[in-house]
Amino acid sequence: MNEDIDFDVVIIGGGVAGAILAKELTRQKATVLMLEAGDGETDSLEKYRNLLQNYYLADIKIPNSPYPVVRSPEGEAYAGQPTVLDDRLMNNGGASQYMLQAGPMPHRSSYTRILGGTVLHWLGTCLRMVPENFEMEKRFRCGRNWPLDYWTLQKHYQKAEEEIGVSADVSEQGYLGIEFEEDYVFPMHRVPPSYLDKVLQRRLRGMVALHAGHKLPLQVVSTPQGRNSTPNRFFNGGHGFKPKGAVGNPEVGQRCIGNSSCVPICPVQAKYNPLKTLASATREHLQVSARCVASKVHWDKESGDITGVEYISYDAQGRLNLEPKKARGRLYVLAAHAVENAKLLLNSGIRSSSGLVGKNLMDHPVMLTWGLMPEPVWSYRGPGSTSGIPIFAAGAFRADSAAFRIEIGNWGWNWAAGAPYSTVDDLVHRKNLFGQGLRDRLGEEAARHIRFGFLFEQLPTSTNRVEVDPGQKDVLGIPRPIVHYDVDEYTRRGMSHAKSVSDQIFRFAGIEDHTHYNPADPGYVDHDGEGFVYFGAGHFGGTHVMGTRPETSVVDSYQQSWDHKNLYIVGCGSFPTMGTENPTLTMAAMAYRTAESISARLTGK
Amino acid sequence: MILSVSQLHDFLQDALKLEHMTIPPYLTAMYSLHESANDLARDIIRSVVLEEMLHMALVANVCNAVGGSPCLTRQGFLADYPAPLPRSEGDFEVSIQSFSPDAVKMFLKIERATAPQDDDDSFETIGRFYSAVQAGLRRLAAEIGEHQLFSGDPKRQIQPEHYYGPGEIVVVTDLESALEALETIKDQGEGDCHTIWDGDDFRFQEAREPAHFFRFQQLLAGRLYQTGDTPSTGPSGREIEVDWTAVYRCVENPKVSMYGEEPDLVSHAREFNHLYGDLLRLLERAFNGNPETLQSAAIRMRELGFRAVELLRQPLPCEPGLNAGPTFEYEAF
Repeated sequence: MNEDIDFDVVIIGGGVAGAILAKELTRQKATVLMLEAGDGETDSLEKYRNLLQNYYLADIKIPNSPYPVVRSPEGEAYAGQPTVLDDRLMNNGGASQYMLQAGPMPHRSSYTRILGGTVLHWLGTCLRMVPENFEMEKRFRCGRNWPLDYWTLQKHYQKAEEEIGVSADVSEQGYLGIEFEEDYVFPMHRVPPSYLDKVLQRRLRGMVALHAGHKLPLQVVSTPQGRNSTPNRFFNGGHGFKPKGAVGNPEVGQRCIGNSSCVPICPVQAKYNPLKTLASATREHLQVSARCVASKVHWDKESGDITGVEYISYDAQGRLNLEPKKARGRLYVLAAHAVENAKLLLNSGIRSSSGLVGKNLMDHPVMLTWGLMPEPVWSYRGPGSTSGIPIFAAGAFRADSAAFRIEIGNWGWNWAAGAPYSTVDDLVHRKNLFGQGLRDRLGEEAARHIRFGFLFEQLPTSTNRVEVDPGQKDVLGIPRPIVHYDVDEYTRRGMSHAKSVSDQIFRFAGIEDHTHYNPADPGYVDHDGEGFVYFGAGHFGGTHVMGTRPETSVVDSYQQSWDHKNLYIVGCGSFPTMGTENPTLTMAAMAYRTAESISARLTGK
Repeated sequence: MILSVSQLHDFLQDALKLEHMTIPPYLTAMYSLHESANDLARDIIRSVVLEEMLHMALVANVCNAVGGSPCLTRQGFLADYPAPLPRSEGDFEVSIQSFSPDAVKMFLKIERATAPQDDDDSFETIGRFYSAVQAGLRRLAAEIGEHQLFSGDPKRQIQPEHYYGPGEIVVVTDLESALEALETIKDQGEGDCHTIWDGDDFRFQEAREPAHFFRFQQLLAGRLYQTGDTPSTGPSGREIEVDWTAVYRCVENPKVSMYGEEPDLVSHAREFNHLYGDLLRLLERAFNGNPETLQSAAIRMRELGFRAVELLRQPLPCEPGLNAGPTFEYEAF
């Protein structure tokens, strides 16, 4: 076997967690090898422009659409990845999907394997987890406890917010137990609320919603985002903050200018992406090898120490390097995504003493409701969401039903109904409009489109899991991930409560409800005679859970493997609970915590 | 030679007019590039335009600091192209044209540097013009006292959070900051201390970039500057592709009167000019005690960009082979 030069740290995965670790560790002069399974043509201005071209030319603008995939001569991706269209069950038309869906329900999220990772196409919503999430088991007798609490993660949250460049005002964000260090300010002032947000805020003034037997006042609150806005001159003890623009062209992207295509790609890179972090790593200590798919982790059966990571490489033209290689380092970090980390471990015979590798798979199922506002709100403009209603993200009701966060969407019915294209279709074919009349009506209607997204928590359970089967290999001969997934009663009860809250909001604000759920939809679930449809938020987690003991968890609070001392397994897979907050910020904060631990180890402190 | 505060105000007003004057030609050249070609040329011109806007803000800060009031809406502020730079020796005229070797050569003339020299009432280069202003500031500060000279209301200063783009705004409160502000303009235009670099790396901890003059020179030379190059060696970095044919060629120094036969063109051009007038009014507001208005100005600029592009893609029937373009003329308010 071909042996690579030894490095201090080998990182598998070039996404946000891997990038943060690469930057922190190379800064400390550690030598780092980063292996990325997907393509690497992303990290220069020119390459990014090619991504934009891909997006403009794509027929269907799904989140993966800008990001190129290198394929075998038979057309199969070497670094396979699920798209949002891959929601058929294995035994019902889905046998050729990369991520096999064993059911009973489809996991509807996707991820992207490319240098920069899935965060390339995130929306930018950047929330801290409410403190309750860290002790669900203790408080509500369901879920699990984290091996650390909110306050312990505090300074790492700050580091993450600085690296990502988060725009928010502290005065609005101290709700549901979230607290900040004295005098803390975010790097940038909040992204201004959209006109739509302001209209909704006015129309919801004074509203009290009934939820699970309790009355709660509703408030529209700005959402912290990893998106460039006006720097706060008081940040960092008065040193201020310089927003990071586009990689290779820092003058571009210093502010969001409303391109409104955040998902899947920000043309000016005003939205954070991990390429910015990679670009500021100390390059002389960093080797990035793209198109290298880790296939197996080798480990010593006696000591448990990892001895190398075997990988298969391919070139940009799709030619395979048939000679397997092995990357070696003093320490190893798996940062390949919750599903890919689990898959790699399972393919290496690593289930951990707890047996929990691959188990406790969670997502944020997303339920949409949509309608027509009584007045124009001028949707389809600006970042995908600039405000939300956070009040249902925490509370005693979580002993019984799932918490949820309400995201207020700025992009009308695009996700819910394929609008405005579907609107044109409707007006032409069903209302027989054309010419000026069509244009007037389209403009009038589309301007009033509003959409709410409800993101639900899921409880960790061993039946939701990633598995592998040697009989189901991908084109590289590596067993593919097989996902077993369901949306349980706890979450469905939450969906039912949320739908009721939605109905109350629509009534109070005078919104004409156009929500409908089709029983034939892959994400259709019912509860007590009511039916709902869920989508995936793209938030996989839980598959290598953190905990206090090797019997009941895979990694400790530094994401270090209990069984393999020179191995760290990082990412949302470490999360014991998912809460309702988009997980990227917490993942980044945890990556900083892990970086500290690895650093200390390498320098012998 | 600047001998009085009122003369200083005149010079600073001319500086504002001068910095602004380069913007319509640079923007027209930039917007005339075909969308899918010449990314590098577009990036270069764009980076220079953004810095000219910084220069306007810097001049406004100096002007406000010494008790002046920047004016952008008086007749005469908008140049009637082709026109010489204010207080120049008049040996060449700035004109509005689409991207071409001649256009870039004109840019070089605008940005050119030369050895420092004693002051005069007309200047061979922009650099010399600013050196004269700096000399005037020093002289007046010594004569009437620094505190007396820098008596302007600090609230009128454009602050870092109001401005975004390359480099940083200098808040002007005294002689040192005033000289710093003007030095920034000179360095970004012609290069710091006879080098090709603009000094932004030590001044603002930014990536090292050549000064405007040398940035444009790269386009004609077909190569980039790199570390180690000097003004006499010329660029020795990697070769770059400039497609001089991938351009919407527009008539030189377009005027609304040239569009007489085309009512649609006339109304588009006048709408552009109306919007441009709005922009100047907003900038004047921003520079006269309402710095937060700069944000609204930025929004206007985006809108103007779209409209400029629209005009540049319209063929001009009376001039076969040439297109129309924005005219940057005063529109009756």
